[in-house]
Amino acid sequence: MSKATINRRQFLETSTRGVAGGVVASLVPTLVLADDNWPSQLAAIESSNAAMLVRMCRVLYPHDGLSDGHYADCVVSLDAKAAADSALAKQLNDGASALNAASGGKFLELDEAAQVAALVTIENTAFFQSVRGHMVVALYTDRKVWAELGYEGPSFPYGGYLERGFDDIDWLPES
Amino acid sequence: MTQIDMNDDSAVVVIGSGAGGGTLANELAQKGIKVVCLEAGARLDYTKGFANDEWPMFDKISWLDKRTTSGSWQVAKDFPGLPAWICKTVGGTTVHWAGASLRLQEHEFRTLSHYGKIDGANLLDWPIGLADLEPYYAKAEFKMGVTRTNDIPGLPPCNNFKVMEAGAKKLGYKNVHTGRMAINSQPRDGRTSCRQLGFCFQGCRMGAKWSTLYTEIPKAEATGNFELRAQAQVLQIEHNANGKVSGVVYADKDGNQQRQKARLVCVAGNSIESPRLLLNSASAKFPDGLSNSSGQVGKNYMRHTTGSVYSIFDKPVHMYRGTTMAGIITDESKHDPSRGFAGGYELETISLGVPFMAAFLLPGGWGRDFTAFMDAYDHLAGMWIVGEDMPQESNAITLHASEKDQHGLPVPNVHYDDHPNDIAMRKHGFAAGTRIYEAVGATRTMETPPYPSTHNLGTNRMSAKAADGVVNGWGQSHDISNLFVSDGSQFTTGAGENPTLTIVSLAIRQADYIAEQMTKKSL
Ligand SMILES: Cc1cc2nc3c(=O)[nH]c(=O)nc-3n(C[C@H](O)[C@H](O)[C@H](O)COP(=O)(O)OP(=O)(O)OC[C@H]3O[C@@H](n4cnc5c(N)ncnc54)[C@H](O)[C@@H]3O)c2cc1C
Ligand code: SF4
Repeated sequence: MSKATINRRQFLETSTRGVAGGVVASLVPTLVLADDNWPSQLAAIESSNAAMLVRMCRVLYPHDGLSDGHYADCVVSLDAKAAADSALAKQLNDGASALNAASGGKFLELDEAAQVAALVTIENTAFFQSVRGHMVVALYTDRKVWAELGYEGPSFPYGGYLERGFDDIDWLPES
Repeated sequence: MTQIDMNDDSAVVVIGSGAGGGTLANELAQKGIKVVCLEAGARLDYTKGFANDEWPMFDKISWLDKRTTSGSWQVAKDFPGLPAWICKTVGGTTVHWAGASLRLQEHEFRTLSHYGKIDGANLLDWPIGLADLEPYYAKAEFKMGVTRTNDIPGLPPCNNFKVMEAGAKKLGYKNVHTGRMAINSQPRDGRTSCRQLGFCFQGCRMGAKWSTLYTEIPKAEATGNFELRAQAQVLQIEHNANGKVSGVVYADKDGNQQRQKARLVCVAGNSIESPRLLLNSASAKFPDGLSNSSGQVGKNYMRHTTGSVYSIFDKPVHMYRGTTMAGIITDESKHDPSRGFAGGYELETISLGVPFMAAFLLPGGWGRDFTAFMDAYDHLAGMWIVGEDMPQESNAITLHASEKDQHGLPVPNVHYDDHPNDIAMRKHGFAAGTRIYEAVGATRTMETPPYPSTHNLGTNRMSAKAADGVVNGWGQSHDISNLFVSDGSQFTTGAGENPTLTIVSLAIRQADYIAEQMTKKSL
């Protein structure tokens, strides 16, 4: 009897709209953009597609307060998945190239509204869903992103919020 | 630790260690009855194994065996492989639950008589009423240490509750408080009190929230009459030539099949696995599955009419600080057909961390409409709508025709269509929630669709007549006297309240009945 259990990644990825992913944030401890050569270190995603994917990630989940490094981190973890899955690698490389080609090779130069419009046209493709499904988990499990969004994460190590502001709201009308 | 022999046919076998199974097993063991509890999941130690982190805890203890979905419900589109959020671990879903512990209302036990016939709904009165359950509700509240009962003070109001309360009061809602929660507001029963960690859905790292994992199970073990076997997934219930159940076959942690004999078997695997197990136990004598002469096994699946409202405010809220379900408005839980639907709903605060918020706020959503809410994360308040959904015979757990699980058994398919009554109620709840938040300055509001089902009910329902349901008013099979159903699948109708207090009360009551029948030698 096989003991194989299905992990979250497998069943959520079968979803067309649901979340997908399974990224341990600690795998990407530093902002990769610190090193300008990061695209050449990708294992499966062609370096020429790296900037495309970073931009696509930002257009999907735009947070003006986040630097490109946070999005590049997600592309690095997506690359790690693609390195173990050649079909995914092909889908990502083909998809990124096609998205760029559809904009006459100038996707990166379009303004945000035009980039959104380009993504809307491919919203139902497997490529789009792979990137979005990965991103929505990878970006929002990144503890550096939590801090940017104002989420404090684990509280047990600090004794919970009982003495740290669980009831500190001060702007409500008196009832 | 007590060990019960595989061939000991005087033992009661309880399948599942959650709200229903864990409670029943302990109650029986306290009465001197020998019990083997078979639990598919592993046993964790809450002082070591519980992390304040959403995805890692979800991955660790959720039921992730393959399931499929069908029907027009939104969950089938958003989470086709995850119809329900249920735990596979010792303690069952009481590890992840929030602790809201409400009694059902008197009229909710007799919906067919009270609401009248509703097209497309398979309404039926329960064979028992509130009066039958009242003494057991009292026992369950005492056992679980429910706040606002037994002189236990309510939990203190946290930020998320204060926003909801202020809005509700402005609109004239009267019944607003920090809930009846199975969470210690003061040390009790050998467990400490809540420190407002905000990770109730990840397993309470303080042990302040009641879970069978660290209450019923160790108490049962202390009797010497009880053996818990973790990582023991029951595959089939067997019967003898007389049509009485005689034992179960399960897969142990190494995947090897074992056979445990039994005097009687109590099924408490939650409302997807329990009917699946009865269906998977079909035999020459019972070709449609055990206890299925009515054809109702797996039918009438209910999951509550749910939805959430999240609003953005100009100033910070920090909703994630403090208990996940931190308070309630009960004014809308009445039956008032002038609202355009039958039955009622509760409004309860809810909060998710950033990882879950991203996944559940607007499944599939992207772009600035989505990230506006994430950017405002610390300025959000949230509430959950939980209301009575209509039982429909076509909403059902069935065995998949071709997909098999890791043990080679057909996986369950979960089919659900919203009834028009459910849709009307959800719409009313969304509007009420939006008005409440706008009354205190919400600038934008998101109507978040249902999460994978957390309240799974009705698939082995109680009925007075054998033709209408699967079990009688004691949870005893209409067809097989030594087979019991001991979880939320017994519910005849879903009512508007969170179900667990009722599941626990029914289990305590069932234990009394089983003990009495055993003494009389009727079992
Ligand atoms: C996030 C969340 C929050 C919730 N909050 C609340 C709340 O505030 N109030 C409330 O009333 N309810 C709440 N609930 C619901 C509550 O958890 C359930 O109603 C309750 O736990 C159901 O009890 P049960 O005994 O039917 O099943 P469970 O508690 O799910 O236990 C079933 C057990 O059976 C085991 N099992 C299944 N099949 C087999 C098999 N074949 N062999 C062996 N073992 C098996 C499972 O592994 C599981 O441990 C919440 C649920 C979730 C997910
Ligand atoms: S908020 Fe209270 S009940 Fe919830 S996890 Fe924390 S200590 Fe436990």
